[in-house]
Amino acid sequence: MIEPRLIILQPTPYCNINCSYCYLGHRDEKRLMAREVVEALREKIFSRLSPRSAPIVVWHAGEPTAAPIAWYEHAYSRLLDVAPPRTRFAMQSNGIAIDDKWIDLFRRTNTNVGLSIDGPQRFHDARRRTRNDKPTWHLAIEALKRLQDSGFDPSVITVLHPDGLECPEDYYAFYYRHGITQVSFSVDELEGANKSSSFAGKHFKVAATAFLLSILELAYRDSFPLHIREVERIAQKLAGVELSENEQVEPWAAIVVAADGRISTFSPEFMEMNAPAYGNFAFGSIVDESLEEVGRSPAFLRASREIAQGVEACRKSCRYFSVCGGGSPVNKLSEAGDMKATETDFCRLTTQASSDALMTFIERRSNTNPHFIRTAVLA
Amino acid sequence: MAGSRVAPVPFAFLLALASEANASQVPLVDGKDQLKPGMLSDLLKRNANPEFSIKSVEQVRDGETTTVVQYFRNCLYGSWRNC
Repeated sequence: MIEPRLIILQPTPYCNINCSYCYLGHRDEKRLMAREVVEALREKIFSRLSPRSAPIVVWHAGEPTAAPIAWYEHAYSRLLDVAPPRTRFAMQSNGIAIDDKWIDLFRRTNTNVGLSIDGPQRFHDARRRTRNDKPTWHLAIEALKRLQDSGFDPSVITVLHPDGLECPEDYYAFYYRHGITQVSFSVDELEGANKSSSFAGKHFKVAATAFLLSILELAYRDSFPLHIREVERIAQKLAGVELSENEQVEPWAAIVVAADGRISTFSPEFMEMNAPAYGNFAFGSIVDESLEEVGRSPAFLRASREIAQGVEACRKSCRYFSVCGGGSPVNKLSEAGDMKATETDFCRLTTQASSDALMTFIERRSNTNPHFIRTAVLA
Repeated sequence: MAGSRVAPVPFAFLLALASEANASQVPLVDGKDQLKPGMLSDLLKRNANPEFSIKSVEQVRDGETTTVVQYFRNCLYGSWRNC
């Protein structure tokens, strides 16, 4: 029996848009996950999941709606009946193709939807462009509205760049105006096909902290229940709520299967890395090998060893270790060229900035008047 | 503002509310100190108002689930950021 917490499945590497910061190196390839790969998923992963496990299965990168609805009908028909009862399905999408037929699929399969929207229009449209270099914000917002009008409450991933850090009020107004209550902030990362980051070589941690703190303050002022995922995780951890640990440093806590059946683990973005020393992190094929065989590959063993060394180095040196768990191996490798490394720009801009913003936000409250809010109602 | 839904109170707000209610009892942290799991749990325990308790948040959030982290529905409890 296996108990992964996250299963990332790539129906197709193709993406129907062309974001300037995209890390996906195969986003021009229109390949579709073959039925034999779906059968291998059924037999070698889903049928072996512990009945008590509660994995999240995410249809992901490229753009999952580039695969036909009929493909998903088949995939769900082969996976749902063997999945443990607490399995949840989700899709991360740019939203552009989501129409009533997709919404019907999401409803029938109880699939949650996350949308990628980079906040206000000018920030989003600057970088999230169609393949003909047209803006996409209005298309993503149409999808958001369509989903909300259908009773869905999509979470949103926003990728930040340095220019956005100067405008927290604009981002907050965007989430407030569109009734977005679940947001996750990512950053322009040096990773995979994205060979440079706009944050590289500079120290933006203070600006990132101030950005998050401003948004927290604005939402608190308005009793607007904006959940910033990174902040929420840390808040829960500091309050003593049990959470699972960092799945990116634990073998097979996250399982990633590409459209062609290649299988990986640890950081899901490893699948996009050109790293011959680690077999490009494609540790085997779900069609041809068992998980046990994949786990004996020299590339897997080397990656496991170095990632564990990196975690230990973080444990000894970083004040944020207990809320982080050892960082993101793919960012260590991309930024430092070594998974045994410790702090990265990615750490500073995400976990560290979120922790500092949260602690300042709470400490400030000790000097303010009591301010009571109850369950907030979006009207 | 779009939609017409009830959303639960973010956990960060819950800690802030408890911090306000406890005023000077908030455990301030030096910038060099290690962050520790549970270091803010006293904030919630100290407060007699059940609205600040973890249990009340669980009930607000889902009614029948047992952990507060259920709210962020995609990749809700892991550390991965891309879903």
